[in-house]
Amino acid sequence: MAASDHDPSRPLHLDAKQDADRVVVLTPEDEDRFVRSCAWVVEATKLGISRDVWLRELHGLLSHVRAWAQKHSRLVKRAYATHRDAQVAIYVVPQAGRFDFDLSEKVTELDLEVAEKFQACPCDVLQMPDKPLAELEQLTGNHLAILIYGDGSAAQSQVAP
Amino acid sequence: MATAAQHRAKWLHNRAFLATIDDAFADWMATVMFYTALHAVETLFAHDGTHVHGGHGPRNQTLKTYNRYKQVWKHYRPLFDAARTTRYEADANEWIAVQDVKSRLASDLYRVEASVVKLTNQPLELARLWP
Repeated sequence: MAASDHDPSRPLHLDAKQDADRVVVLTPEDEDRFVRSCAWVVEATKLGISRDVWLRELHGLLSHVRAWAQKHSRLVKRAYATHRDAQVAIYVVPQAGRFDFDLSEKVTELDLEVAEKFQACPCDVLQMPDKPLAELEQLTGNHLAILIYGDGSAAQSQVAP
Repeated sequence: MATAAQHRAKWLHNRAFLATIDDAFADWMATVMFYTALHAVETLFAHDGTHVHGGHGPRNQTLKTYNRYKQVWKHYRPLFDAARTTRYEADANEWIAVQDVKSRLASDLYRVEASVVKLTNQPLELARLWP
């Protein structure tokens, strides 16, 4: 460490190369003790930054899809977000009540837009039949976590916590 | 890992089966159509030396991320979408009509195949599945 532990005017500098084997002791306000290697601290910091970026992008993605669904409300009845295969899955329920080829072209445009704009948050966008939540969960093999767009009076009240 | 020739053989094998499926099975038509496209895509990946580890998710991300594959993705995505739901959907034949499968969805398959033929620069005569 390059700085005194008790000089608040100077930063504590850990160097991943020079201090790789040094032990860092962190003392939180509850007087607990965390003994970690410098390398661990560096990796944990990277992970924290990655998580922040991912959460920011997820929020942006959901907002983007909601705006898209509002723009195409003539074709879109509802939109859900969940996770599948370690990535986000967006399910769009067509107003048509069946697979809608006109909507499919719009979905492809949306899919490419979000792939380019939210690269830290990969997702696929698919059409989905309008069904009771339990059946949708069975169909997707997952719990539908978020209703992004549409009338949730019937569906949202059933959404699992 | 299968070679481009092996994927191409599977692509043509699935395609031959596709033409034999009865109109009562639009769900299976959509499913086989998707797996025909999938092996066409894998033929392209093998040709390019593009290694994709994992299932549909990583494959889809590769297709939509690289400019070389974006045109393929535009027509592969509807096949993935339609097949995914029809595979698990109880009323699959109500979700997608057989006429739409044989015209509009087939059109997406033809475009995927045409892109793959062009990008691999390997001439391949592919007849239309239905007149």
